[in-house]
Amino acid sequence: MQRVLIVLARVLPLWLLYGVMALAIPFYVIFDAKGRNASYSFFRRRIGRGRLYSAVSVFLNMFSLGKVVIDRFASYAGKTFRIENEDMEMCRKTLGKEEGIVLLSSHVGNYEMLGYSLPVPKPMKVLVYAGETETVMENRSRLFTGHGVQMVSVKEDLSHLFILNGALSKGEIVSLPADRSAGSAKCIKQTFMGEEASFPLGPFTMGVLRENVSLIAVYVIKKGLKNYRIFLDTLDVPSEGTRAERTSAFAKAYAASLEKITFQWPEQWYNFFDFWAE
Amino acid sequence: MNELINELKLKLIEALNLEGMTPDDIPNDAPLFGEGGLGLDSIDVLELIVLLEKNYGIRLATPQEGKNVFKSVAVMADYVAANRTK
Repeated sequence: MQRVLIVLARVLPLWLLYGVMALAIPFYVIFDAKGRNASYSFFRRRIGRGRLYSAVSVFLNMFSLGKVVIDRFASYAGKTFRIENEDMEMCRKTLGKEEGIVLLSSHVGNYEMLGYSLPVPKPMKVLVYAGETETVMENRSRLFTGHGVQMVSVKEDLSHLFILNGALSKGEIVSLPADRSAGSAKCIKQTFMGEEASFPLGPFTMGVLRENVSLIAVYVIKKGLKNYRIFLDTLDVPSEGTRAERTSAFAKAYAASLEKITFQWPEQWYNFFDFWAE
Repeated sequence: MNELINELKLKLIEALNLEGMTPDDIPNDAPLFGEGGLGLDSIDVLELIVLLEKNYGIRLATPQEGKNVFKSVAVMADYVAANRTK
């Protein structure tokens, strides 16, 4: 199915693929009760929209997810997307610093586009969880490698920790997903959009263990048919205090950053589960 | 060696935020991970890797090295004594 999608993305225009995909969205809205309810509750309770507007937003939310998924496959098929020039310059400057960088990604927008569209100024290692299909991993790897980005899978033998730590000690970029706590050994609670939510502790611990590491939240937001905009938010974490205090401050700064971008682009929030569940 | 073992225990307590514990509460040969020991987890491994690097100039590059070194405080102390660069 995914290989077929890549072939289709090669020969058909994006707007047509989006249009066909839109026809399938009502079925997801009807039959994916968990995703639908989580999305509705998100727009109703967190964004504060009315009942009808929230219901429409569920459709827009799923449609938006469909579009970024198609964009990924279109990238695998060789299509390119525009990143604004000022973003490219800002990224090169921010990510080209000598010291190590911890980039925090989230399920908002289309983060993968950063690795597909931007020549990363120094080696970058991206932590990925198991679960993606072979087709996705093959194509991701092919495109990432061309841009100096290497995927690091989470392994039971904890080899990923040694690889990521080694990369930071050499001043490289390490990218970690930071908005989903499922599967994490430990979590940290932070107030997010008005209520406490769990975030994975690992990325924040890794970020504060070393001095002089830049801590940056990154979002790649879809702005048009073939346009994306990159937002890099450098997070201020005090250098004073215990490690636990600094970890907490880092998580708090990230939650605030994620909240800001989510309020700005709620349709590109792709966590289709109760993010605030105990 | 006892001095180094005690120093390592103090650093472990501080780095891993083992509140209420003293060096005497950590047996020298107790496993750091799994049952019957401190019950440390993957995030604690990260803390230990950086602890060895910062304090003793030891860089562990592979999980196998970590597995061999992080067996117990006594094993860690032996490794540190043999490989420290600061």
